[in-house]
Amino acid sequence: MAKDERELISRLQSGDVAAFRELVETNKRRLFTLAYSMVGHVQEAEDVSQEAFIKIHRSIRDFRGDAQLSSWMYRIVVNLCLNRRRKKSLTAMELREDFDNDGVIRSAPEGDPEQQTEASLLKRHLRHAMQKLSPQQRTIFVLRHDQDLPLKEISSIMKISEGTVKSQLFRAVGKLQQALAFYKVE
Amino acid sequence: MVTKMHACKKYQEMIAAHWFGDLTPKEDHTLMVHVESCDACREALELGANTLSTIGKPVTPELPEHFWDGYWLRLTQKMDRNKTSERRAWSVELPEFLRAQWSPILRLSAAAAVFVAGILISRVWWMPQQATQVAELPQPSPNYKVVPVDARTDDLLSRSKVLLIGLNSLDTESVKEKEFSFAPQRKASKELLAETAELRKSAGTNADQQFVELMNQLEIVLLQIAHLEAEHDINAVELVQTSIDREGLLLKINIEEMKRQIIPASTDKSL
Repeated sequence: MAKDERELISRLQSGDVAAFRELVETNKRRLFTLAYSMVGHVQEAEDVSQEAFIKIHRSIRDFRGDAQLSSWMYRIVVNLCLNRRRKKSLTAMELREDFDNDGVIRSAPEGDPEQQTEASLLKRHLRHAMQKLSPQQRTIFVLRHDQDLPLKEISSIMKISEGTVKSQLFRAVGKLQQALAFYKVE
Repeated sequence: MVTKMHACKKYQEMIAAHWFGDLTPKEDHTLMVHVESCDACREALELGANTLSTIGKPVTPELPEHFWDGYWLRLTQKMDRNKTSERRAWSVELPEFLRAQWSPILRLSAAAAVFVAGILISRVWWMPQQATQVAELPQPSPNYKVVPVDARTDDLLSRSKVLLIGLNSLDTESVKEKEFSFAPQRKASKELLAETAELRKSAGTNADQQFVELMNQLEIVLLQIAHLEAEHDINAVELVQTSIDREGLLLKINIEEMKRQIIPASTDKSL
């Protein structure tokens, strides 16, 4: 564990509000992205990520540093998402069609109009493709592809073996490939 | 792609690691050697790499900055709301907790409270009922009616009993030997007769039958006494004694007195 992280944990455990804000500002995007990968909805992902921060704030005194702080935080997000999924007993964790209607304004892709249209279509198809992944596959894919987390850390977060992480990652990419087969890379 | 990989499962994990640059150079070389001789694995490796290239980064939405700028504020507001709701939840959950955790104690307490309440209620309601039952005890039969009593009746019975005991215990043999005057007994008997007649008249048809019978028998005996000869009327005395014994008059007077002692004074009515 890095010295900076130990100091941050120490400050958090002493109830330093500035330290907590620092933690939030540093990790809010990553936790949100992970939550979004599992719940598939912006508002719900924000709720989950905020719940995770609240839980971190409450439980930081119990954190002994056995794992990395980031792994511990990711694990909290994963558990919150899984709990929501159990409560809902629905497939709502899958990515939803209405993402574009969440009221979130996104920057338009740069380039000519044809490229913009193609990028928009790809995003739409990608969302469909992500729905074909299981929650575990989707989470692993997001953690590795988007979050750039090492396989070992994903293994720790998901509490599965590193071999299973690789295996699930292989299957996830395979499913995406099948779903996006009509896209040809020049 | 996946279906073609059945024979090369052990290389699937290596291919996945290769896509994301997680293989060591040695592992990467091993994989490359394999894919050169395995069409299925080579195809899977290439298709997967092309897919990831097509997808690009990231697959998650790019949110505008103002969304992130307000994140801290929304988080702190949520924390405040949670604190408030936790306080409310505590006030709601505490009774639930007590019900759940202290349920046996509460049940025992409730049972004890009900028991004590039962005793108190029984004392308030049941005991007066007992008193009423005691008051009703003297009624031996449905035909029995409580005899109205007053001081005159008590006095009559008391004086009659004294008179009868005196005559009943008289040794007729000793009377023969001495001069004995029955004048006081005759006088007392006449007064009692007068009072008896008055009481019977006052009681009317509502009087208790036993009391009426007692009065009748007493009246007969009193008449016998009233007609005793002034001196040495031993035969008449013996007749009186026989009448007292045969009718069990002293016993009946005693019973009547006892009955009147049990009946509360508040229920008494003057004849």
